[in-house]
Amino acid sequence: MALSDSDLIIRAQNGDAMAFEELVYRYDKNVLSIALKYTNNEDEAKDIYQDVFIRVFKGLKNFQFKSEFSTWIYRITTNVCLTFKTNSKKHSFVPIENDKDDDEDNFESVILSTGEEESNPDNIAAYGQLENHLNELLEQLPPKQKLCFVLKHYEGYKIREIAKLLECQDGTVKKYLFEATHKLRSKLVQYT
Amino acid sequence: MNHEIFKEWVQLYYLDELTENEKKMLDAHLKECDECSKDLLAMEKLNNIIKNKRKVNVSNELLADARTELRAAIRLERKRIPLTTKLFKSIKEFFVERRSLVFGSTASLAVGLLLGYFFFKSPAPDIQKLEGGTELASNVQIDNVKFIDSDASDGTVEFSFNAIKPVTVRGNINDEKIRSVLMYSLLNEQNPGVRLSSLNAINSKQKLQNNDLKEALINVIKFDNNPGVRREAIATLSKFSYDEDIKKAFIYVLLNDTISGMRIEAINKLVEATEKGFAFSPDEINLLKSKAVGDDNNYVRYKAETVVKEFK
Repeated sequence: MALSDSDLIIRAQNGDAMAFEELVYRYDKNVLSIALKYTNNEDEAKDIYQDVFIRVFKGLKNFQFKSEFSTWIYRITTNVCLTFKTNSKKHSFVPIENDKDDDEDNFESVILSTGEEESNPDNIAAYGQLENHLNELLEQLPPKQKLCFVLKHYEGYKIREIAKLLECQDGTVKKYLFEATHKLRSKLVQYT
Repeated sequence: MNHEIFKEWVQLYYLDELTENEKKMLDAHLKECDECSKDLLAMEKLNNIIKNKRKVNVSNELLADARTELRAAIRLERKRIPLTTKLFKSIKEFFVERRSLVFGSTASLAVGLLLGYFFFKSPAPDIQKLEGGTELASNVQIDNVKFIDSDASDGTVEFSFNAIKPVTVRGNINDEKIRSVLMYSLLNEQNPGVRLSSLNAINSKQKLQNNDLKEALINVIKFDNNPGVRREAIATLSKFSYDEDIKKAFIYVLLNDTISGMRIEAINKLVEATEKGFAFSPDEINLLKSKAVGDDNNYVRYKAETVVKEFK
């Protein structure tokens, strides 16, 4: 029978390396998924992943079960994501005014498609371009708006769960999500 | 019911945050409201764009890579934490005792160090809240302010910073606590010039034998990102009596350092060890063979071959 998180934490706190590894493996795919969708870059996602679990490793001895272990890990993940964004300015930001694209017709056809045409090679290319376009727009969002957007739309968190991770009110998360949606819609207005 | 609420519900519908009852009320409103219907259509189109990215999944290969790198980083932390903690404890004791210190009159060293005190230090690396009444001492420097959220439209901003207090120390280089400060600086100071000064000060002794210092130097030659600091660490490590740990550290440099000058230093030290009669295991000989054939540098290849021949 698999050990509970609490059992593994106590063992890891007493120096059991295998218990720590087991704990990591329970959550690390989700952490990496958040990091990947937040950065849209595999190397940066691995940097965030490593930073999160090094912090978990260093902080575990002081973990006092005041919150769920999963909440603690994902809270660290959100903090690292937010700090990572401000530490590194690796992304190129596309000014909105220059945000012209030669493939507007392609984007339009993709957005209006029913989904059945996705296997068409032309549409696959168009989806790729559209995704790049969306990624560029996401890069322009402030870190908290972007993180809320990623957690909600790509990771399927509920608003109250995001609020718990960011330690803010549900209304604040809603505000970030609505602002992010408004910005994306305003920049993709010709397609929506 | 207020039209603005339905506008919000249109967004919440696509966020899957409406109850069944709210969905029914929204459906009824949409039949009568063109504006909200258009909004819903626009949201549907935006959702079509977004949903494509949802399909991006973490590949097993990426996860395996991340886990491998994490294991290596944790191994390093396991070694680093006890030494850094020990040094920090020693430094704390030093500052408690410093008023009663009698300073040596000869061979003394003055070191100006900036030691970082994180005034909001907590066990978990969470975002901190600055409570009313929190004050920083007058001689504390605020440095490296980074905005995480500079948008004050919701009445709050969020940023991080380092609060640093300057400390000046004068003491004898032979004093263990002075050396602890230098070792801590060597392992943790961000400025390579300061790390190098700390090394030079340590290096002024003819013969070294402190195990913590040896461990610190091995960490530096393996992982310091400045080649000048790594090179000086190799020179300083050479003042220790040669042993297995030092040999393994030089082999690590030979195999992993991207700077050929560093690999030359390492192979020279390994050749010296051979001349003094130190043996290599079969695995180590195989590693040296790989360098004798595959290193980019002629000198390293030649010297590695020399060592391998010695053990044939």
